[in-house]
Amino acid sequence: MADLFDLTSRLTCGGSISGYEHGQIEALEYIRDKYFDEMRREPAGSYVFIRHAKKPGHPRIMFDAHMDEVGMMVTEVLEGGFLRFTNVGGLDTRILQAADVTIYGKETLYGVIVSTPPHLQTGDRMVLPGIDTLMIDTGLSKEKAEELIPIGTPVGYRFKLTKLKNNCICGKGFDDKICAVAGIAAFEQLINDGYEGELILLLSTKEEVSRAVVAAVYELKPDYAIVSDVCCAWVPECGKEAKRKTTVGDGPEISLSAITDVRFTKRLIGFAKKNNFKHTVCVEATSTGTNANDIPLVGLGVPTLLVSIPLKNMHTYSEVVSLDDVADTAALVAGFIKELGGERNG
Amino acid sequence: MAKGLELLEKLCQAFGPTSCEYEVADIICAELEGKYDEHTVDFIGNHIFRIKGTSDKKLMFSAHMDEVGLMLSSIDENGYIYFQPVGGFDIKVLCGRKLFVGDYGKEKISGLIASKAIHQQSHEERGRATPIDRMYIDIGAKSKEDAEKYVSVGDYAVFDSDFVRFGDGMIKGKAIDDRLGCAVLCDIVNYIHENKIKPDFDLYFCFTVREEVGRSGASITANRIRPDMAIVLEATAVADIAGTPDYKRVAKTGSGPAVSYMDNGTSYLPEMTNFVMDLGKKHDIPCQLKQYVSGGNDAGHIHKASGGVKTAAISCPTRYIHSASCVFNEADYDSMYRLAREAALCPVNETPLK
Repeated sequence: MADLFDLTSRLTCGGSISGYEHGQIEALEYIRDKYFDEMRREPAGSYVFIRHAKKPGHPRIMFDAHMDEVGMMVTEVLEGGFLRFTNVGGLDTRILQAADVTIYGKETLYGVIVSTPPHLQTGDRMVLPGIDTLMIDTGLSKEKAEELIPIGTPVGYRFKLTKLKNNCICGKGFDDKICAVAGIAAFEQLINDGYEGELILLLSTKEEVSRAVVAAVYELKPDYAIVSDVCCAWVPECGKEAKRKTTVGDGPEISLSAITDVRFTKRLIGFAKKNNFKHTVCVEATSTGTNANDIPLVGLGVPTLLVSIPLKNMHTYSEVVSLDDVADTAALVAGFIKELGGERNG
Repeated sequence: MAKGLELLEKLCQAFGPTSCEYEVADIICAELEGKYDEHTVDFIGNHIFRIKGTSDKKLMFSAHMDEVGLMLSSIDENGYIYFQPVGGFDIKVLCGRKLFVGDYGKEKISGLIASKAIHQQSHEERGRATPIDRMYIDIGAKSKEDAEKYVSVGDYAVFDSDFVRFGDGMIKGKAIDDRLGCAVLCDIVNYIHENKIKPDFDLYFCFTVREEVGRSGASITANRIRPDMAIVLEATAVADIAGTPDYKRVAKTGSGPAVSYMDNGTSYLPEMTNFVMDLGKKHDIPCQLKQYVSGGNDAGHIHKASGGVKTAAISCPTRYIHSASCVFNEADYDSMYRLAREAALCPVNETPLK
C-alpha cells in the first residue's frame, strides 16, 4: 500500500487555488515518475496521467479527482502593506480572522488575516465581517508589498498537516486531493497485481469555480469514469434524526443519483456487497455537487459514478479525514476496476 | 535572532494557560539558574527572583506567565469534547483553530476546534459566528471511552501555532501576551549577571500567574514584596491596521513600546508615566504614549496592593492579541528591553522616589 500520509503531504503542501493548480508541479512530477508513462496539461488546465495498456482489449477507465482548492485572490494593496482580497470558491468566513495564509506572489510569503480588536467592534459581535472588509497583514511596507504581490496574486490557507487519533489527519486541501491520493493508491494496487488495461488519472482543474473537468474528458473519451470527491461527514449538529449519517471512519460513500449513472452505480454497490468492501450508500437524486454532475454528458457521453470520502470542516484549513477511509476507498476502486477490466471492449 | 527572541520562541511554544503555568516557570527557572540572590515561589505559583541592590528601595518588575486557553468541560458519546474559555476571547478567532490538548506533565495531543461545515449551515446561520457552546474539540476519537484514553474533563487546550518571522521584521506567534514580558525580564537578569552590575534598587523580578482571568496572582506578589515602585511589562492590543484612524490605533508597531497613562484598570500617576517616557528620551530609546484608553493589565492589581504602589506599565504593541496569530515588531522588543533595563539600573534619586 502506498504511504498515504506522505502522498497527502506532497499533494497538499503547495498552492493550488482554482486556476493556479500548477503550484503543485513537484508533486505532479513525482506521481508521473512513480506510477505513469506520461503526464500532460490539457488547455483548460487539468493534468492527465496515463499508464498505457500492456495488452489491448481492456476498457479505458478514468479516475477523476479535482486538484484545485478554495482560496483567495489579492484585489488591492493598501497602506501599511495590507491586502484586500476576494474569495475563490466558497470560503467559510467563520475561520478567517487571525488565520495564517500563504501568499503566492513573486516570492512565497507568509501573511495573517486581520482580526478586529475589541475596542473597534460595535453592534452585534456575532456578525462576521464580509470578505470585502477583511485584510491580509503582510508585515511589509506598501511599496515592497506592491513590488512582490501584484493584483490577482493567489493566496491559500497555510499548509500544516497534523495527525489525530485513529489514523485521522487534519489539514488543508483534502477537498479534493485526498481523493487523488485514494485514486493513486488504487492504481498502485492494480499495477502491483499485474493489471494490464489502460489507466487514466485525471486531476481536474477549477472544480470549485467552474468545473472545467469537461474540457479534459472531451478529449480523453474514456469508456468509464469513476469520480471521487469528498462529502460532508455527519457531525453532532446534524442531529440523530439526520437521514445522511455517513461520518469519518465509515468508509467510502457511494452516491446514487439520477444524473450520474444509476445502473453503473448499482453495479458497484452489488460488487461492494458481494465482496464485503466497507462502504455506505447515499441518495443525491438530482445533484451530487461534484464533477460527476457534468462528466456523463461530455462528448458522446460517459458512464459515470461517484465515490466519496467523508470529510469534516470542509473548505477550511482544518479539514479532517480518516486515512482508513482513504485505504478502503482505494481497495474498493481497485477491486471494481479489475472487474470492469475483465470486460471485452467494443 | 537575538538571544531574547530565541528564549521568547521557547516560552511561546510552552503550554501555559491560567493556573497551569508550570511549563513556562520551568523554562524561566532553568534560564535564570545561579543569576539571582533569592528565589521565592508561593502556593499559587508566582515566582519571585531577587537581585539585591545597594539601597533599601524595592523595585518590582512584573510579567505574567499565563496565556488564554480553554478548559475541557464535557465529552459526548461520539468523542467530541466541549469546552469553556479561560480568559477573554473574541470567539471569531476560535473556529477551525488547531490546538494542543492536555495538562502539565501529561502528553499533549493534537486537536482542533470544529463545528459543522459551511455546506451544512442554514441560511440564517451563515454570516454569523458560531456560539461557543456549539463548537467542540475533535481529537479524532471514536467515542467517549476512546476520548477518555487521552484526555479528561479539566484538562486544558491552547493554540497550536508556530513562531514565524515575516515581512519587514515582524514576528507571529501565540501567547506573546505575556511571554514577551517574561523574556524581557529574563534578558535584564542576564544582562545584570553577565556584566556583574550592582544595581541601586533592590530588584524583584516577578513572573506571575492568573492574569488572564482577572483574579491575578500579581496582587499577592506585591503584598509579599511590599515594593516602593513597580513596573509592569506587557503586550497590549493595538489596531495598527490599514483604514483605522490614528487615534484609534492605540499604538503603532515599530515605534517602540507603549507607555500607559490610563487604561481600563489603572489611572497611572503622571510622575510614573513621565519617568518612563523621559528615560526613553534620555537614552534615545523609541517609545510612545498609548493613545487610547483600552485594555488592562497587572498594574490594576499592583497599584492598589500592599497599601499602594507607584506603578508604570510598558507594553509591546501587538496586533491580533488573544488569537493564535499575535503579531509584533522585533525592533519593539529590543526597545522595550532597553527601556526596562534602564529603569532597573536607574539610581533611586533619579526616579519618582527621590
